[in-house]
Amino acid sequence: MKNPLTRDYPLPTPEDEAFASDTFAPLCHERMDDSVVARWRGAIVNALAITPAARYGPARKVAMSSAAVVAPLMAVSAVGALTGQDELAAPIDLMGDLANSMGTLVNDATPVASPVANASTTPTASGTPDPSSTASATSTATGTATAIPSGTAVAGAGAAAVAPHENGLGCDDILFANGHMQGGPVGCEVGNSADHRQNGWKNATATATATATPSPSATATASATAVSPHENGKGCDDVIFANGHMPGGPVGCDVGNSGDHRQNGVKNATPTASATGTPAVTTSSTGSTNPGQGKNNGGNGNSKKP
Amino acid sequence: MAILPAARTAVSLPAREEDEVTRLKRREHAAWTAVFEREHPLVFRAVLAQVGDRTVAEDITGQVFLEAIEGIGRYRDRGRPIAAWLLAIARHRAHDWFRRRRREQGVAIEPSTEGPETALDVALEALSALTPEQREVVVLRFVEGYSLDETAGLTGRSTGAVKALQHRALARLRAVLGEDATWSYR
Repeated sequence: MKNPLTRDYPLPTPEDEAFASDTFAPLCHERMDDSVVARWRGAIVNALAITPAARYGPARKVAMSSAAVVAPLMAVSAVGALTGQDELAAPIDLMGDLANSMGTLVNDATPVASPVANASTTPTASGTPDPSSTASATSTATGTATAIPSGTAVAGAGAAAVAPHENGLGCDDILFANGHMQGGPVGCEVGNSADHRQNGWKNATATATATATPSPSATATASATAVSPHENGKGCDDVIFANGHMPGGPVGCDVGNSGDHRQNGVKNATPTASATGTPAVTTSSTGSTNPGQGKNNGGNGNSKKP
Repeated sequence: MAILPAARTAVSLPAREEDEVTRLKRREHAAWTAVFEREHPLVFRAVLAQVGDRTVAEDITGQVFLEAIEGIGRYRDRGRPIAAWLLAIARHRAHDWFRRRRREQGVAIEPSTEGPETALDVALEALSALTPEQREVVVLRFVEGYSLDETAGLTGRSTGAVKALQHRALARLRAVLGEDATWSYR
């Protein structure tokens, strides 16, 4: 039974349709100007060139997480080796395996396959102490510590950042070096130096990681205590956009150890531990490490944009 | 029997490749270019009918495609033509433009007191007397030449709703055009 409330509207009469068609006939031939069409065509091409991955950056979070998580752990590992606390080695190994499974080298001193790094890397013999690496390690670990076995710390940080380059999702994608593709007007510099390369690989002149002779007044415990925030989700993802830098926002983003808070929670860490002894911490990195690399990964507060 | 201009009697929904949406979601340049070239006249005329301003319509039309590129990942293929989705975006953007313009002017938009100068002006003036929904149906039916069913598919309405909108629109047009003696274009 037909619903009495509904109304069946009649189709327009031929006269009505002819009237409407004639009235709106001029609209039938309206088209956009060719110049406007060409302009929008170009805009579409540009819009297609910006991939969602580049826009929202999942890869960069992963890469930053892996590098920044592993770097301080390497410092902890060094402290563990230095002080003979074997219990530290287990979690470090675990994290190392995890990072390796993510395609990140962790302190295993395997020759790096990164095309970027290899381009300017000259392996040197291992076992040669490198004074400059000591300075880098200091920065990496705590920013104030001077006793972290420099070779180990630098090797860990540097190697950790290399692997993401291999599949094209590494630092180049992270840094948005040329023009900051996320939409914001400000370039986003991640890591520690230069206009790209989070770990200073840009102009890397490699030195092999050497045997280090740490000074006994280490404050590396600060780094060690700072590791746990990563484990409960307070790691790098929280840090990256910490101070209002949303993707596309106008604010630059410093990742690593600068800014108001620290990925490792060690900003205001007071050195509490001291390393004793003079262990010879030797790494066997063969040509992938860099004196300048990793100095901002996992440490405390001293690096800003270059 | 419907009487339509000869140039528009053959108009029908474009045949859509089955994997077009897939290609669009893959952001294939060729697919998006094809959609833009095929659909932008339709979108432009629909927007022009809504806003009545050529420059604004051109801007909104381009923005529709950019927004489509950005939102293609959320697009659900329900078997409707891609043009229906683009028209929906265009409808929203035109609505946004009206709201923004009202806010900026602080008052409701008054129709121009000047008489239309060209046949296009007459058509746009006539459309301005209709509601946005009626405009959309009228454009698809009498400008683009789509059937009732096709118009229903493109607007996401039932055929009965399209008939009702069309009926009221034509009644309104007859009343408006009959009242204004200067609108001699008939």
